[in-house]
Amino acid sequence: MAAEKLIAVKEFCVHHNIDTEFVFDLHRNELIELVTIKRSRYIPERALHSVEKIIRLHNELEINIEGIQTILHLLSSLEQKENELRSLRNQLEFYI
Amino acid sequence: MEFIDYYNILGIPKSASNEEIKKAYRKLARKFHPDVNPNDKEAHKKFQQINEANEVLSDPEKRKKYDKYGKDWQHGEAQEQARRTHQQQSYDFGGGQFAQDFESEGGFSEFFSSMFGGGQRTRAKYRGDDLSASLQLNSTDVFMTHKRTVTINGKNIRINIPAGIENGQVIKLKGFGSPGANNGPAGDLFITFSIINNTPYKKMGNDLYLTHEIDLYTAMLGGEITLDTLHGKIKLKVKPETQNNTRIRVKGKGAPVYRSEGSFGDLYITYSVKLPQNLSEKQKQLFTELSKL
Repeated sequence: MAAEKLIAVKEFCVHHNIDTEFVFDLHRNELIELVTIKRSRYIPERALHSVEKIIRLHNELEINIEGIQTILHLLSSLEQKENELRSLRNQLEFYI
Repeated sequence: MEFIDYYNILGIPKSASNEEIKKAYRKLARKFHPDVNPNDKEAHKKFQQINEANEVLSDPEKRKKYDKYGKDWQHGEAQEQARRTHQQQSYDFGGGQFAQDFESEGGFSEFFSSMFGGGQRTRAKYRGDDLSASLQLNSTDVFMTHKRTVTINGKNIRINIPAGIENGQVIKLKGFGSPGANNGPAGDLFITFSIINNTPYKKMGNDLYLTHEIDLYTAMLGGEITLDTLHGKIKLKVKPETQNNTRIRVKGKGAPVYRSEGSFGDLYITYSVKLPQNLSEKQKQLFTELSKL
C-alpha cells in the first residue's frame, strides 16, 4: 500500500495565514481528521480539500465552527438526496 | 459593454453606509458562496457579481469614482483621460482605450476592468470559477475502470472513469476549473456522466435484467441454453417444466459496483416461453393426444 501524503499543520497554517489553534479546534469538533506522528500533527492529503473549504467558509463568510458544522451537515444531506434522486430516476427508466 | 448597477446587485440604496454595504455583502455572499452551492453555475455567477460590487463599493476611492460617473462612466472617464493628456501627466489611469489594453483578471467583469484597471485593484485572492462539463458514454464503456482524455475549454485532461459510474452521476476534479484571481486557488471541474444503454439489458442498481425466449420443448423437457453476457458467454441449465416468466438469478454477472473493483451485481433472466406456430398435422395430432391424457 502506498504511503499517505501528510501536510504538517504548522506549514499549512503558515501558507493559509491562519492560527494553528483554529485547525486544532476543527479537529476537536470532529470536522477534520489529523494524524499525529511523534507529537507533530499532520493533515492527510486526501482531507486537504475539505480543510481548505472550511477555511474559506470561515475567512470569506465569517462563519464560526458551529455554523460550519451545520453547513457541512446540510451539504452532505443535500448530496445524499441528490444521489437518491439520481438513483430513483435511473430506476424509473427500468419501467419505461 | 453594459453599465453594472453595483448598488442594485447588493440591494442597497446609494446612500448606504460602509456598515450597510458590508452587511449586505455578507448576507448575499453566504447565500451564493460557491462552497455552499456546489455545482450551481447561477450561484457562482451571482457570487462573482456580489464580490465585484463589494470590491467597488467598500473601497471609498472606487466608490467615489463609480458614483461620480454613474451611468455615464464611459463618457466621464474619456473626459478625464483627455484632461490628463492635456496636462501631460506621466501616469496612466486607464482612459477610453483601456478596455482593449488591460487584460481582465479572472472573476471580474469587463466593466470593472475598464473602469478601475489592473493597478487600481486590491490584491484579494479569489477562487476561480467551477466549470461543468458532461460526458456521454455507452454502458459498455463503464464496465471496466479506464482512463480517457477529454478536452475541456481547449485543455486536454486525462480522467479516470471508474467502473459502474451511473447515469447522471457527477465527479469532481479538484483544481481543474478556472484559475483563481491573484494567486487564489483554481476552481473545480464537475463532470456529469450521461450513460447510454447500448445493451439488451435493463439496469436496476447494480443488477441487470433480461428477458430471454425459450421454446416450449426446452421449457417442458429442460435443456441447456447459451447466453451472451457482458462477462462473456455463459451456459445455463433450464429445468424441466419451467413456467413462463420464471426468473432466475445468475450471481455476479451483473453490472460493476461503483468504487468496488471486482464486485458485480447479479444478472436476472426471465424466461419467456415461445409457443410453436404453424403446426404441422403431425404436431397437431400429438398435441391432441397430449390433451386427452
